[in-house]
Amino acid sequence: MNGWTGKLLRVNLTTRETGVESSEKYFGYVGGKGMATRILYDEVPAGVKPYDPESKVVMAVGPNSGSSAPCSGRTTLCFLSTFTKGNAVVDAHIGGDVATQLKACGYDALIIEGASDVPVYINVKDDKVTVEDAAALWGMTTTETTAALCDKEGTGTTVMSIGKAGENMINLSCVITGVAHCAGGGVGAIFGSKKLKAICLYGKGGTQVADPKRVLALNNYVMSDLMGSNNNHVVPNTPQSFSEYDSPRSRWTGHPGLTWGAAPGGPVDTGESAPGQPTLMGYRCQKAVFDHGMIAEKYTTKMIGCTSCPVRCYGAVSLPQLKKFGRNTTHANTCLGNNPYGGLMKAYTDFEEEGDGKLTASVYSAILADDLGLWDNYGELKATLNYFMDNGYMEKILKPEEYAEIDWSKRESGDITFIADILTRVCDKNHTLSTLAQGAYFVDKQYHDLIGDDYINSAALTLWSTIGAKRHHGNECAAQVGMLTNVVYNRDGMCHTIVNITGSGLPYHLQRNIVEERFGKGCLDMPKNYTPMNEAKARFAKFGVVRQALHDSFTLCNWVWPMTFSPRKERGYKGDLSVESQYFSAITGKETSEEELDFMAERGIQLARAMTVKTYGTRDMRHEHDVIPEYAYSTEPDVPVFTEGTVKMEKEDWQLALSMFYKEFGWDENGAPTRETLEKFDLKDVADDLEASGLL
Amino acid sequence: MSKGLMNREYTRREFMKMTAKGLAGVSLSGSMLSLLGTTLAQAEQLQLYPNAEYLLVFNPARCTGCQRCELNCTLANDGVAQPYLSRIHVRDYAQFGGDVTTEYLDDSGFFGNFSIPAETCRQCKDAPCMVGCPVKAINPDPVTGARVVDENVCIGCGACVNNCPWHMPRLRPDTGKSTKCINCGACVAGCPTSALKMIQWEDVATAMNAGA
Ligand code: SF4
Repeated sequence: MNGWTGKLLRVNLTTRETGVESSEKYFGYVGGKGMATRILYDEVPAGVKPYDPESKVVMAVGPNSGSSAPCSGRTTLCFLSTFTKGNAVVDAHIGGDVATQLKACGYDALIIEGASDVPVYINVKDDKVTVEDAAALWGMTTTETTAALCDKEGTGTTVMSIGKAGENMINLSCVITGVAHCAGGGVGAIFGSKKLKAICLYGKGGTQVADPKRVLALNNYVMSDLMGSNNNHVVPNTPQSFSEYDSPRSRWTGHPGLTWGAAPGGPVDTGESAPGQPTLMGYRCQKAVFDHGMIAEKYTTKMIGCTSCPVRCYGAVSLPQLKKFGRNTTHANTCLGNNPYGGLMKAYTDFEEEGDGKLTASVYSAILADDLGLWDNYGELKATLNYFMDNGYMEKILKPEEYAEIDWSKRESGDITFIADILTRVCDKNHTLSTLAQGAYFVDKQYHDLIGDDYINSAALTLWSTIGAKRHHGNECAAQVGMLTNVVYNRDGMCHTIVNITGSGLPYHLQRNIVEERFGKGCLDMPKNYTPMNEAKARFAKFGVVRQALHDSFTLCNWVWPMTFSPRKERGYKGDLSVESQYFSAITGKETSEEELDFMAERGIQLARAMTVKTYGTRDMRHEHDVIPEYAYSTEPDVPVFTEGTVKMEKEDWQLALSMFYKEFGWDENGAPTRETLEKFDLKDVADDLEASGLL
Repeated sequence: MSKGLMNREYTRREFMKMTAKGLAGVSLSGSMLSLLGTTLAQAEQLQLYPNAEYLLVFNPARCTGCQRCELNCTLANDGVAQPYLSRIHVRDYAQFGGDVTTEYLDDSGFFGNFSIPAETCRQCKDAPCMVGCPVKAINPDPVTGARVVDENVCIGCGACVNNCPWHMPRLRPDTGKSTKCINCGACVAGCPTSALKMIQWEDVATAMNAGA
């Protein structure tokens, strides 16, 4: 079979039985997110809670995963949210080798069901699948677990594991693979509730493609003509001989003179990698420097990333300063993952040079969090901990002995072991600090008498919704458009389709001209100077999430895709939004248009929204789900809305934005899918189900 | 032997003489360093694979472990993206640089110092895979000199895999037949950091003659 393997692997942890079924009936959902969401809908009845044995985790890839297409190394995990209102369906995404290896083992999806009484790991070697004892691994860090399992099962084994956070069922926990590749959303705690310590994958098979030559030609086209750097930033960050434009915010940081300073054997210069040079494009993103600043240059060993990705967005650093803390001195990650908890400190103590204190704190906190398998919820956990510390609430919520045993002065004095003091307790279910890692929605519920309405609505937290979901990205990016891209999610939206456009580095007028051609006049406002809602923006926002769903289903990395823009001047910087469908056609052998593929991806969104309606027991998504916190309306108090200098939202305009967005998706004024819409997507059974529950 | 081939062979021998003990301590000219894509300090760790046709260079410091080479190799040669069949082996070295040692945090690989000591075919002169094949299924290609498996002759005994010190050939999981590198260059063409380089002997000769 081309593209898909056509097989689902089912592992029951209660009975330790494993089985293989056909995956064909899910092809209409593309794969990944769509497929996994449908399986969850089919198999987990509404009312089941994430930690119940009836709760399942479905891990799925799509026809593109492992095909060699650039950035096709992503896997989607679908499950019930541990940390947002209603515990409705969410998905999380993991990179590394997982997608390639799941395909190589011969499966489109792995369904994990039931629960074990004792620690176990799932061992998948092609069609040999076993559930094995993990008693000796329980309590280990994710790094130790990976090393132990690679030693036992083979050094090339792909290991996904949980740490203390998952084992102790801390809501904000994740699954880690390789160095720092993470599936968040609380899935680590669901693994923990099933006593599932790890999954091992090693496959000898592959991804069959209908037309290998066409796939290779597409790879070359994408890497030569369409792809820039991380987030598909298409202009470099400094002036270069080939570039018409440059932008300091661009993640295309590589340039002559900037190095991987700690490369074994001496610095490697990142140099110029002009468009049309696919064999140099891995030098464009010097992400350690972009994230940590110039101080990180000399500690940068290289860039790494997911299998098949030529962008390499993980800045790998080696910090001898960490030796004195008796742990690993190297780490690699990107964006927030490079500094998840350094910001718990009020001050930093430098070690060998000015500024290395902050860098060391960042990397130290990243290593610690990954080893614990603690998920940061895009900065929410750090913000919550700081909120409670800064407002004097810690003393009020902790037991006196708990409060007394922590040396709070370390926070001010710059002793970074403070971060470990806090995080290890956060992962201890018996310690009150762990209650702050429940997710903001549940923190607000538990401590509402103490913290009132301020916490959940605060700019310190920057949620997109009071369901407890972080803004990632929202109104800071294309105002209403960015905020709307969150609405289809029961967690942080993670939609990068739009932010990659606004962050591309191209001048605003070029960005606008290219996207207006497709979505209509007025779809993209000037940065921080936006206008009231219009239909072009609703179309643009819908495109953003549909493509994101496509990428999470196909699979591709939405942190880079789609190819809206190109680094090539001779193309007028215009990208090619049909490449996904070209790949789909070349890989599966089924000629499929861009519109047809987007339609299949949208099916998964429609289903997930219907599932949220069912879980919430109300059609009123507008007031129960799509509620943006107060801070979003009140930032920059002195600047009037719709004038230069603010992206603050306006209450009536947001309601109008929702109405227009709902209309684009065929939802009613409550924001719930109608029967007509569901039937259009062949979801008649879902419509019937909602009707039977009085929700249609 | 044509003049071109003779020149290639001459350059190859000269180069191999020069690098017989690796590149440590060899005084390499500026043009040679730039051809190899390295600094003098880094040259020491380059993995060189000279064969009749060209010089293959792998730089573990530049390899980012993306495994695009493995995917491209198999897509180009087998019509399927199947890393296990790849004739360059990255995946098994990427995490721990090979076997997991007790000192893995200081060893190579993602969990250590990030150096990735991948392995690829050397097209050895008296290739153990070729010499040890009981049915002579592996022979030098008359044009490229690469040691190539004739899958019609191969009986899938696995002697080549075992005899190769780096276990480079792989037995196809479906047919059981052996498959190995044929010097096609697909791995090099798609490496996003030029960690792999395929250098023609003519260019090596020019760099060697260019001096300083
Ligand atoms: S393509 Fe290049 S960077 Fe990627 S794994 Fe292969 S040799 Fe390393």
